[in-house]
Amino acid sequence: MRLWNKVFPSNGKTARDSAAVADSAELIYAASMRKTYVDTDRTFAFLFVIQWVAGILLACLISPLTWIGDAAQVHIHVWAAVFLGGAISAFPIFLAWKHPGEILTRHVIAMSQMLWSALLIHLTGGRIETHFHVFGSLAFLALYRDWRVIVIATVTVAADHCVRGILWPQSVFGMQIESPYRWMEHAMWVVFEDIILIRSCLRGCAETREIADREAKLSIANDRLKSQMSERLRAEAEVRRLYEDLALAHDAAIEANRVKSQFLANMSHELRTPLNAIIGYSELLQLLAAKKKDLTFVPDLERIHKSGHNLLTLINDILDISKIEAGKLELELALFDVRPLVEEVHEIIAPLASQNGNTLDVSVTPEVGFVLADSVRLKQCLLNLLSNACKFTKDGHLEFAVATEQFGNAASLVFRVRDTGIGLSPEQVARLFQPFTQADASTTRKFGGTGLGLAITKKLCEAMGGTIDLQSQLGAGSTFTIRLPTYQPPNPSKGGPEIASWENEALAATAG
Amino acid sequence: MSIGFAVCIWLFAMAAGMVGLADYSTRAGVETTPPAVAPPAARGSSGKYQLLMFAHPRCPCTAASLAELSRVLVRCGDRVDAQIWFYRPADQSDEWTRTALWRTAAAIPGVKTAVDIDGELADQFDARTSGSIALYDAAGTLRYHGGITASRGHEGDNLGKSALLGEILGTRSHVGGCPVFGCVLRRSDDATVE
Repeated sequence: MRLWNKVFPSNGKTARDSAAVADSAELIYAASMRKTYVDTDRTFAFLFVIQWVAGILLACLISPLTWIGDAAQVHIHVWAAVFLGGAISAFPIFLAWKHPGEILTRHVIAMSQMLWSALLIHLTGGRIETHFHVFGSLAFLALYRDWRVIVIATVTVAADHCVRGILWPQSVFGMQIESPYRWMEHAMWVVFEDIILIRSCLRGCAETREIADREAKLSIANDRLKSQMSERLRAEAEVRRLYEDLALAHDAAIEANRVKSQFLANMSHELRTPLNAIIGYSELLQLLAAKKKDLTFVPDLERIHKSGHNLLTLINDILDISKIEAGKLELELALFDVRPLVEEVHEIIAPLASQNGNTLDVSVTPEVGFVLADSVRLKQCLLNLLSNACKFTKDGHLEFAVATEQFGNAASLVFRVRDTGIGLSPEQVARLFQPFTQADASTTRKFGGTGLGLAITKKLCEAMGGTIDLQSQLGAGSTFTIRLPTYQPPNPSKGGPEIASWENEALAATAG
Repeated sequence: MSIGFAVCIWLFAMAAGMVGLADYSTRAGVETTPPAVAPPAARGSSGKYQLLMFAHPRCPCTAASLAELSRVLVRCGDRVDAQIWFYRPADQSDEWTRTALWRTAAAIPGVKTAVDIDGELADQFDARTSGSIALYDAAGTLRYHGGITASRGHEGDNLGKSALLGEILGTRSHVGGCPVFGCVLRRSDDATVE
């Protein structure tokens, strides 16, 4: 039943499934009963042969000859056993052979079996022991599990007894005059057994029906499971095929990305060579113009120079992101003092901050010292964050703070860039660190840029073992925070001379 | 021919066969009457009833007669002197009579078995069918004659046995004879063959 419920959960199909089970159960029940009928028919056919032979032997043993003085001839009981017994047996045997399982066959068999009882009783001279053949035969007939067979057998016995009681009462009751209903007393003993046998037949049928019902459910459940298994195998094959396609697509994508990165690296190199020439010549021309005091083309030369620089920055960004995606970014880790780097960044960014009327505060806490990182890349990251802050803040305030923070047992060097600029919505924050992504399309139009800067910054921070995060509120400014792990000297209490030694260790680790 | 019709024919044949067999089973031997006064062979000096049974040593039906006689004698053996005379053809030795029936009869307490050569004694008592009984009282008067089975070879209560018992026990008096079921004792008798 649990299997049934598992395979057929309650849903719209229940009614249809129940009908299918009922039909199947009916077929199984009919087949099972037919098999019972056929098997029992054959059993009785075999039994009839045995009874026939036994009847002849019995007649030959008990009353072989009849006598007139010294002359003898075969007793009529022997002929009765041969011919009447043969006729009693032959017809049901024929039916069991030609019409097995049919209702008429088993009813004829029932009558024949009762006639055999009568004949055997007769051949044994009405011995009371032979009467048990009647009761044994009824029990045998119950093998059919058909109560009607028991009834027809009982009717045959009762009819035989009734006719004998009427025609030859003394041979049945031992008296010449007897009640015409005396035969019913004898028949009642047969009916007494019938009640038990019929009840047994009905119970047998009920059990067969129950088994058929279970078999039907099991059969349909098996079919359903096979179907589900087949569908599952098909689905698994489809998933395997999709995985193979996906793996091929993945390999193709990796190869395409590698080719793209290679192409971009090559192109960047090819672009930078003439671009450096353009920038160099524009600077040279500006120097010549200054020397000749001819200012006619100076603004144009400055535009060329600026555009060249912008283009170089863009190409460098593309080269960086390509290297990062291709896994070919190489960092030059070294132990260096953070303060000079902060000073350098401050000097570079201060003019940019003042262009939009912003004020800039730079602070470094006293405990800030050395860090193990790529100084060029760290500066690139800080300049990117600060230039963005300058770009998106007008007449506001910028703050660049460097400090150390303790998180559990680990200490981090924290670079925090805070502005009071336009800020970002949560949706914009969510996609800000993705390559080629800016806050929105209007940002590109209004402020320029490629959308690569923050993506590169994030990748560089992670490559140096750090993190970057952002807190921002639309219209209220943003705060970018870079955290890098601090390098702890083996024994900081020994002071200055030790710095050289752990700097060397760090360099050795980087080289390794 | 339909199977239903065949079943009807078969049923009719079976019914006819069973009725025929039953009819044969209840077909009695020739009705006879023994002498009303006992011949010398049936005269006793003990003051008891004298019971004579005439039997064919090879008649299968007579086994039932012997069984019933045995039951009768169990109830009233002290009042009866019983003799069973077994038919023997003149050209046969006594061995011809030493069958299972003889041994059964000899084993019944109080019963004397004897050989009736060529059925001469049976002829004196007009007994023609195996199992015939003639009962005389102490005065030599015929009190009962006939068989003591209900049908051929069929044991069980029956009219003849009841009449015999009633006569010996004095509970009732029987008038007339009862049918005898068994083989014909002598070839010369023009009787029905079993």
